[in-house]
Amino acid sequence: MKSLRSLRAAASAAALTTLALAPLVGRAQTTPAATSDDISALREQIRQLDQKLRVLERNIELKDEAATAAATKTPVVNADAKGFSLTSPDKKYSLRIRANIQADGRYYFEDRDAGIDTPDAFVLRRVRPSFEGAVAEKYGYRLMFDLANNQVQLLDAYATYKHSDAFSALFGKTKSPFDLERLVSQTNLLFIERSFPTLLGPNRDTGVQFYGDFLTGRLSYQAAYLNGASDGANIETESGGNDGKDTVVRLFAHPFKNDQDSFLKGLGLGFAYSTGTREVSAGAIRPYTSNALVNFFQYGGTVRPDGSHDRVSPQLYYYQGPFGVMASYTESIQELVTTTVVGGVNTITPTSKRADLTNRAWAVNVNYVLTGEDAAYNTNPKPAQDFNFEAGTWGAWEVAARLSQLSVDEAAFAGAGTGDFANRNTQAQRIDAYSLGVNWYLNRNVKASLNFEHSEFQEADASTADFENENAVLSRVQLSF
Amino acid sequence: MNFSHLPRLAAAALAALALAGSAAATSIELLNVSYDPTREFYFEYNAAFATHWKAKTSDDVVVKQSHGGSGKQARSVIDGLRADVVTLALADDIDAIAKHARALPVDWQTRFPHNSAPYTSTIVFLVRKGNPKGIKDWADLVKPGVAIITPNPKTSGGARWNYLAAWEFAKRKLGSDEAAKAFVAKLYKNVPVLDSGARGSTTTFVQRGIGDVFLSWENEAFLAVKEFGANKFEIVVPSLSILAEPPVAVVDKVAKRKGTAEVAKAYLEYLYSPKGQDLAGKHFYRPVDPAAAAKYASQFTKVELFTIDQAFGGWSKAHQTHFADGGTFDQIYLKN
Repeated sequence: MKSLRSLRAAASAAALTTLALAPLVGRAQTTPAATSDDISALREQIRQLDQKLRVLERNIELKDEAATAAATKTPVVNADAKGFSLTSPDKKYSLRIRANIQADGRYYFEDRDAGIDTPDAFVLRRVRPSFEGAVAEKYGYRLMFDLANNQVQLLDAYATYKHSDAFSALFGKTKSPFDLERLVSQTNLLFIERSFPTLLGPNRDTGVQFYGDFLTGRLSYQAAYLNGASDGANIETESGGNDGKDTVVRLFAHPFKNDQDSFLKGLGLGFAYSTGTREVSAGAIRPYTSNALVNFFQYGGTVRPDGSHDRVSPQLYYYQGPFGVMASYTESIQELVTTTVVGGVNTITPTSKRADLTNRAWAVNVNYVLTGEDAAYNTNPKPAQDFNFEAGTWGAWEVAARLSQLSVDEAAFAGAGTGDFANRNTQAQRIDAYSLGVNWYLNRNVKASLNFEHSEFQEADASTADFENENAVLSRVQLSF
Repeated sequence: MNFSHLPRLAAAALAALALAGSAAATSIELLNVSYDPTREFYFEYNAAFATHWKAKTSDDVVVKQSHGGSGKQARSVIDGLRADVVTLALADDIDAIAKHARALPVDWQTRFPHNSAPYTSTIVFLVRKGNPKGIKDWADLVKPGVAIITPNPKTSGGARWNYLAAWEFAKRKLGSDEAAKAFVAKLYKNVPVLDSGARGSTTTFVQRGIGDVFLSWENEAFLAVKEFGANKFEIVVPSLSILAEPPVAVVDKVAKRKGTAEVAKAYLEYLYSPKGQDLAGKHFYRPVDPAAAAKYASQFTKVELFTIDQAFGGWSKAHQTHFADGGTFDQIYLKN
């Protein structure tokens, strides 16, 4: 528009100059002087030219106005590394379509039990489309399915209401706000499989949650009242109904979050606690697995929860530049009872054994982004340069190491025969695991991971034959948006 | 402690609250969705009505205004703009709201006197001082080299009145609808810019200095002369023009929901009061009240006016023939 105005001014100036000079030029060249008709004609030409430019300017102005007006009514369609989205012009309504595909390979060199050869396998670990967004500004929603293993599972289905930063509510099913590593998104995991503390905490559960931040984001809280899920399990895996409910509370602080220059800016530490009662069918407790997903401990088939179930979990992380460390400890104290099959039904009888068993797990992992990008909790490093073979750029590379342990209450193996609650001849009492990993972030959407997992097992009964160590290599190619 | 008196106390407290509520003055907000050239008129009228309503009821009323091309404004109301009242350029636009949004009854025009048109207007020509192109009547508009400014009939009520006035002039002069169509087609060939509303066209002609003649609402033409000076513009009144009856209506659906039905109705009724009529005349609308009309008669040049019903059989028919998709305007303009 500015250039058009300049053009108009220049044209007018040029024409006026021509008019002014015409008599002089005429005299100098001794050609006939410009008549008043000539001057009138030139003036008319200037007027027409000026009008044409004004019309052009105005039409562009109107076109811009129309485009601006249309922009306020046209939904914004976006496609980028974060996924594909549709947003209303006032941003009160939105839909984001996301997906995560994880294609894994598992290779077992040595198994805990020399008699069992865990098969090497390629598996689709997760195939998860999800839909999320906003409705009427303050309300949100999310639906996430898992299509892996040739079945459809509804993992997340919830509605949220945001009143303020300090108070939001969530209704429906999603992760229980308990375990630090569980709350890391599936797409941002440091290692291919989460570690042992997540086996003692709840996974996805249904109910109501409240959450928010205080002190300009330095303190966050989550509180939930949920159906209750077994250790490491989603609510669905409980085969019987649980009349008792779980109350979960989690506080997490970033004391130095707003201190830009502080070395401790990336420090976060918190505490989670859950309490509830659980009375579900025998066999409902999920087995414990190694980091390579091989079972190493399972309660006996007649054991069932019957009473209180409390958990505690102190947790922390620290991130500084490309370096990160995350650690958590979980203790799960659960009242269990043995049952006897009477008339085809597992029944608590006068001879049933009852115990409060305390299982414990911890994990510490450290990571370092070799290419210098920032490491952060629940966020993959964003490659400074995407992988491009022709251009010689290689994305971001990260190395990681993890120590972790899970120990089952020794009381689980006590009692006559092979043990009241677990078979001390076949089940390990403790696992110590050592993990090494390399992650290659080709870009923000594609990641390749390679892990080496070494696990050592401790027998509950020293007189039984030693369990073998387990060595496995896990690999993953992940695409997510 | 004796609690038997609690129900009576509660009832008394509730009654006191209710009485307090009814005794306290309330603040009411109305939205008047109107067309382009009424801004200045309603700005003054709203203040007058607020004073009137305060004196009558002790309530404060604030009237917000929204202006744009009449057709565009009607579309906004259909799409959900929460107008308590609409004061648009032509009945067809309010018919559209009744039909598509079902926000008021189809016989809305019978609710207020004079077919719900509290003032009328017409279409005149605004030309530059000295009338350099010598424009005196519609026939002069189709001469080569005459640049005409008029808004888009698809979005502007005023533009529709312009279009139909030109059509009727040509039909009477040339004898047939076909000839009239050719005349109007020629006229639109001389239109270099199509704004979406009358106020936009005023900007194009007056402020951007484009065109030789602006087909304008009468009141808008007077306003331009008043604001920018008689040394810059002149008003030319053609031999024949159209009686424009800009109607008003309460949008029942919105007013009922907002609890403003009573004040919205009073707001429009007040347009017919001596004060409302006087303000209409002051802002160069033609009042329907004989006393006010007589007071302001001298400012309007006498012109032969025809009505939409006489010439085109009403707005519905005119819309269908000329402005609906595929109508004569589309045929003419797309061809141009």
